[in-house]
Amino acid sequence: MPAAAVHSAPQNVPSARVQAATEDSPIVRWSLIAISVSFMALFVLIPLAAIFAEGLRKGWDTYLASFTDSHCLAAVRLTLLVTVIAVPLNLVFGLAASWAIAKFDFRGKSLLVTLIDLPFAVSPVVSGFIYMLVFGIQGWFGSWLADHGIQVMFAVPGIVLATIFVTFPFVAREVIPLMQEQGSEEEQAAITLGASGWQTFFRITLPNVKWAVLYGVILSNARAMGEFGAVSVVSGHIRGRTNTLPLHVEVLYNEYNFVAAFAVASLLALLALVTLGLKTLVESKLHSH
Amino acid sequence: MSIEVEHISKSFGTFKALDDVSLRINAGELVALLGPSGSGKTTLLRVMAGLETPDPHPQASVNFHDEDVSSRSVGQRQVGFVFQHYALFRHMTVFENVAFGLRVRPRRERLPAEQIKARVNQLLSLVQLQQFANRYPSQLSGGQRQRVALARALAVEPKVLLLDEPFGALDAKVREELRQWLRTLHEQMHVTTVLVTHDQEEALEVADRVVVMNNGRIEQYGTPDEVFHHARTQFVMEFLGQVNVFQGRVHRGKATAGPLCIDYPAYDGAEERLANVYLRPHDFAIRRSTGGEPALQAIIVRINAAGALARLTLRAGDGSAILAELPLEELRELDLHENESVFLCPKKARVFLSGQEANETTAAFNGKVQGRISG
Repeated sequence: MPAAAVHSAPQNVPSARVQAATEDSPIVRWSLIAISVSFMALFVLIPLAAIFAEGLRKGWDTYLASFTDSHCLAAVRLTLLVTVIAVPLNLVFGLAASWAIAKFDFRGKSLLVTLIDLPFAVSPVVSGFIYMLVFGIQGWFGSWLADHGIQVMFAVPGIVLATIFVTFPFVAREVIPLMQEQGSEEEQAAITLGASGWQTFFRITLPNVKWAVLYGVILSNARAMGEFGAVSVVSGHIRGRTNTLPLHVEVLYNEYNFVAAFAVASLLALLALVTLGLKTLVESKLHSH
Repeated sequence: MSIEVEHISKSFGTFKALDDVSLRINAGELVALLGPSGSGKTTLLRVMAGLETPDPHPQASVNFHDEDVSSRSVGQRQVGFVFQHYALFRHMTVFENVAFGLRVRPRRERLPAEQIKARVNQLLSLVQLQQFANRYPSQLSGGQRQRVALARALAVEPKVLLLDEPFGALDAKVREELRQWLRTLHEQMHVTTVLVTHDQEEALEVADRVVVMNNGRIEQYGTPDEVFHHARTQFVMEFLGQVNVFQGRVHRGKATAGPLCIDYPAYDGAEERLANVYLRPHDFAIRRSTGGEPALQAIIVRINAAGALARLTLRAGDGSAILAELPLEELRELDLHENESVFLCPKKARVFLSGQEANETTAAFNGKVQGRISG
């Protein structure tokens, strides 16, 4: 028998799996897992399932009929319109702010960084009221705007403004840390090779952060479509005109039209699931680069 | 193309990175900026490239080929800049990296695609990386990345090549190879090249001339031979190579340090002044007996015979450590062992008056050593 084989197989192989030195006992492990799983089920999975179950309670026909209602279609259109305006604007703002913060040093930089986080820190209802204070009829510019026939509050411009406010940190928050980590040597290399500022931005800076930008856009998009608080304050809840999807859900619910409310809510839930799927996909790209 | 900087200062907040530096680099030379970290060498290089703006000064200027380029942008200066950490474009292949400088040219100056391709392939073969054209930077070794960075810088046919610690992040063996390769490349291309390094061996081996920098100033500018053997300041003496320092005094044309006495005609005053006496490790002859010559007695602490020269660490009577080097044959002939007591006879020494830098106070000692009991 070769000598090596003597050491290879211990005589008394324990029947159970050997507990590694870094692991806790199975009881501890399984109870921790059980706690998290039941927590998830109770607070996330069951409510999510309930939305679809309630929406479908009276069958597919009623479920689908909820969407063909003209008010619902108007809400979808308005939500899409607001998103299409707010997200690109925040993309441009987020990129410009990240570029400035990550690649340059200037006075007031830390103030700018703090301000970008403001919408995260402040309650959305408060941000709605701020716009009301500024642009409302009783507000600072309200009478001037009214004199010139421009309606901001209880109209699309107000909703767009409120949405931009609540979503503006998303892109910048994702892109700034990545840009800071990457430094500016590649940009310096590009300009020594004769590239102009725009060429450097579009050929070097942007490709290097594209996954982080996309990630920020996805999050921003989800929030823009789902925002309730700030939009609720400035919209005025005019059916068919200033109701976005989340507001439409609330209106339906308050009218005891539960099936329709849950059906429309399920649309938002689907959006959330799609967002999560995309987010996971982009995240894996982000980390592999 | 020659490079000339005049009266360049650069401050970062309260830190003065460059302090009124003026320097002329002749066309076609390979010059190394050598100094410890924080000495301003990288800042000077970046000022030449235009990546750093010097502090305003009425006479401050950066000239390429006797033409002031201070007001030109980085791109217009046509420099090839190689960064310490390569700064390769991570989302582009090796080929795309090298082609970048050719592709971003304005349309009317841009080469046709076929010529760009030919030129990139030619550069890749110059840096011996043809077979890696389709790889991404993350798939290359450090040495290969640095060669890509060089090819990329050379693609735009720069007037001057500026290298910022190009081999700093590489291991010793690869550094050695790349250094030789850079020297050969320089001889083929004759582009004026400035290389920043903190590695004196690299600077002395590869450069035509060396600029030794310290605290934002130029300490000495000369050939490797000049700066090594004819250091003008104590800093250069201590920074380049290993050196033993003995504190002593000078008066009436003599410098004394312990048992050593050295002619020092540069100072013949009657008043005693403090001085430092410098001896390189190879400036000692090691003897078993003094033979009547003035010598330092010391105990061998350690013998390291790995290399062409044996390196000895010794301890003098006062406890100070002394480094000495001698050829291996001599070590064998003398049959030296650790813990033995030997005599160190100086063959050559340099004297600098304390608290005074350079110039006329640095007259080198020329071989004659006289015995004298100190105290």
